[in-house]
Amino acid sequence: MRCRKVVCQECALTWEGVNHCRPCLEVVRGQARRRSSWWTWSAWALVTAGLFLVTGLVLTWATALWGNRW
Amino acid sequence: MSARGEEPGTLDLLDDGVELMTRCWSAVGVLWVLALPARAALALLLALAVKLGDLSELAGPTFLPRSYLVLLVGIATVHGRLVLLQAYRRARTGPGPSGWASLRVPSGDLARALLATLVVFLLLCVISPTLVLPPFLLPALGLASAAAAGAGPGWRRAVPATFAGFARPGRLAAVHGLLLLGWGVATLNLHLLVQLGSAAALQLFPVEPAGLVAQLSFHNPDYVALLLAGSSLCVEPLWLAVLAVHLDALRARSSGEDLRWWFEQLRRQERRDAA
Repeated sequence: MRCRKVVCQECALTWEGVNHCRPCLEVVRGQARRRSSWWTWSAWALVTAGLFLVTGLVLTWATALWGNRW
Repeated sequence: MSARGEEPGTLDLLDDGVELMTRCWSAVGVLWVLALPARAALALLLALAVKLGDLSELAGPTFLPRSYLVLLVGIATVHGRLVLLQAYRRARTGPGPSGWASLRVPSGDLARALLATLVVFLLLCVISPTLVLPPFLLPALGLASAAAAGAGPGWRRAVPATFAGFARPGRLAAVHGLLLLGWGVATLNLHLLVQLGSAAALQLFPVEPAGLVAQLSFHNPDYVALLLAGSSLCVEPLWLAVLAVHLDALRARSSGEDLRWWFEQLRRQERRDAA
């Protein structure tokens, strides 16, 4: 489905619910196997930690408002 | 399963969701065990705010550690959801690992689901004072976990993949309306079960009846919050199954997977006729 080539139902290979032709599936598999870099995980950790801190504060504010309105 | 060219309807989603759920009871149990602490912590936090009333505006220092506790134990909820969704996927594609191995989820999926869930929960908290908007965002809380596996590599796609699940909003709204009704019925049933249990406890143990009745009444915010939390856990496996089927249907239409299902259906029918 990536290369937009028409592939018959028998030749199509399904991966995660999506049909691919053989070369496309090899590319997808290669991407999946490639290990994420240290920087990617660090960036994720940084963003998630920031979100965690902000969400905790906003949840506190929302709870206080909820109690006040009830 | 709807025929080729037809959109699966609301009842198709519910039907497929119930079928999936009944094939994965062990994973449902895992979700309940992992999600219970976060749900109880959130319920008790909201109940505390209700009990404090006008004073709750001054109770920020009391709420803050409890809010972080809710978020921290919420990580286990997201993990439980991924275990259940993984079990649903395996139930559709064939036998998968059993036992402890089934509790393992890919780290990329967990990272994406955690990030998307945090973003959606943050948005929910921000819009919660409006009281009208949160129900519209509620499906995203489940979609954040359901979409994590198929979002592709990298964590940046987590949030767009979550909101892409809002395609066919009419069907999503209708199924959530029915699930809301189910939540109400589950709450009522759970309340009756608790009342039955308390009546049995009064007969068997020397418990003060007035105290127990006061504890288990709708005038007690703790009880109401825990009751709603418990009944939401009863409905959650079906909710996730419905969202998984909804996402599969969306992906199938863009990938031709629905055509394969349709062929399988035809072949099965042909074999049945031949037999």
